[in-house]
Amino acid sequence: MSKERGFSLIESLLVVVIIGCVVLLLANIPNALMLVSKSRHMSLAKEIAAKQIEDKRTINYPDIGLGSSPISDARLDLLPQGSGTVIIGVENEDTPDPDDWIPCAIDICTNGEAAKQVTVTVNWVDNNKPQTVILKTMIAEGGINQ
Amino acid sequence: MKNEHGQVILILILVMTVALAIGISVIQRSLSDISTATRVEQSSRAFSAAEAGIEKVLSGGGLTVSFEDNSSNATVTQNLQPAVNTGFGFQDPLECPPGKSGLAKEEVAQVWLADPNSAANPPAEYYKGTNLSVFWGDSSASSDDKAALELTLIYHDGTEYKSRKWFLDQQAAVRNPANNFSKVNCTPVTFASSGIKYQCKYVIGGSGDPDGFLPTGLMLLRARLLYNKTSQPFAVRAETNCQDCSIPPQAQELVSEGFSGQSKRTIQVCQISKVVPFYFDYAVFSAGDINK
Repeated sequence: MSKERGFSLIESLLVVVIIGCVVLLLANIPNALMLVSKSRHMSLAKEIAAKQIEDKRTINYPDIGLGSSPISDARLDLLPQGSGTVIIGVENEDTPDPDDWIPCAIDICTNGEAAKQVTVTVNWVDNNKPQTVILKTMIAEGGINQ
Repeated sequence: MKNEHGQVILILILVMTVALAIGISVIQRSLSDISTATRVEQSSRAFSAAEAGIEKVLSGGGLTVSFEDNSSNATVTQNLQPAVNTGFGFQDPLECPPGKSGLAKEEVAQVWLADPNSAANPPAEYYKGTNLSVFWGDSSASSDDKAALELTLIYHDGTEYKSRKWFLDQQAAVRNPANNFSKVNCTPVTFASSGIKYQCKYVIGGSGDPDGFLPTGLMLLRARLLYNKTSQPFAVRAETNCQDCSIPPQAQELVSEGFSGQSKRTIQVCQISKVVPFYFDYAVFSAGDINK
């Protein structure tokens, strides 16, 4: 009878291990769920950015204006604080006017090609941390779909 | 009673094991999701870089693009078709249109003999041979599927554009109604390089051609298969073994490989040189203007 009053060493160890596992699980599951949500947002942001590039390729080369414009895509609402910009060309750093844009950076279009750089940026916030997807490509006169 | 206490612990361990397995699988799933999403993003960056590489080459730029601030870059390989013959020796036969298995009935193929990229008018001469081999027909086609060939050679004699025509038919003697095409005696030809077997070969400007040597100022050769029931191949090859007897490249194949992180994406594009529309022949030989 005296033995039955307390717990054996094995029983105590098991309890400690079990409690440890439960604590570990409880601590990690919210993090894991957050990662799932983050990956979903990342994939969506990439889809939105790729769609913007495809849309630009359907426009005639001369009609693709230089400058920065916000992305208009209903799927941005699915991203927490989602926003984005499409930038055609690059700002010319050699001139004092910040609004002076050139189609392609000099170090990329080394031969003065008729091509415009396209930079699509999609921003959103996950777990209070800002996230960004950036896709860069070029659209040329007489190029793909042109 | 003592034994029953042990059962409680066993059941508890079992329940915990199941819970642990579920928990671990959730964590693993989330980790693999985030890894996949990262790879997909890298893959998109690589694809966009590969597209940029193609665009750059198509607009006359170099063969590499590097967006250093986006950690993506692309390298483009350019293959001309047919490859330029830099020295003496026969050029590989050029199948036309490049990358296509054959011509349907009455479909037109075009071969540039002048430089298709020349800005001059008339375009700069490129092929200066006095004769040219043409191959047509699929020798594995059924015995009643024998194609005839209509050839139009456009050349510039120094003052104006002119044309010369050939109408070649291996079945000219038995066509009903008669077509008055030139009868060609055909023996099948096989090229080891492409493995394609042709029904016929004819050398325009060759010793058997009643029209004699090809003129100078060669511009274009246009070919049309007639009477064929199935799509059949057409090819040309410089017959003379000389340095200026290389047919100019008719197409370029661009293979762009984009890289970002561990991702690599490849885009392949085939650009065919300017093709004169099919109604060109009718415009050349029409009595008056052709209006839309």
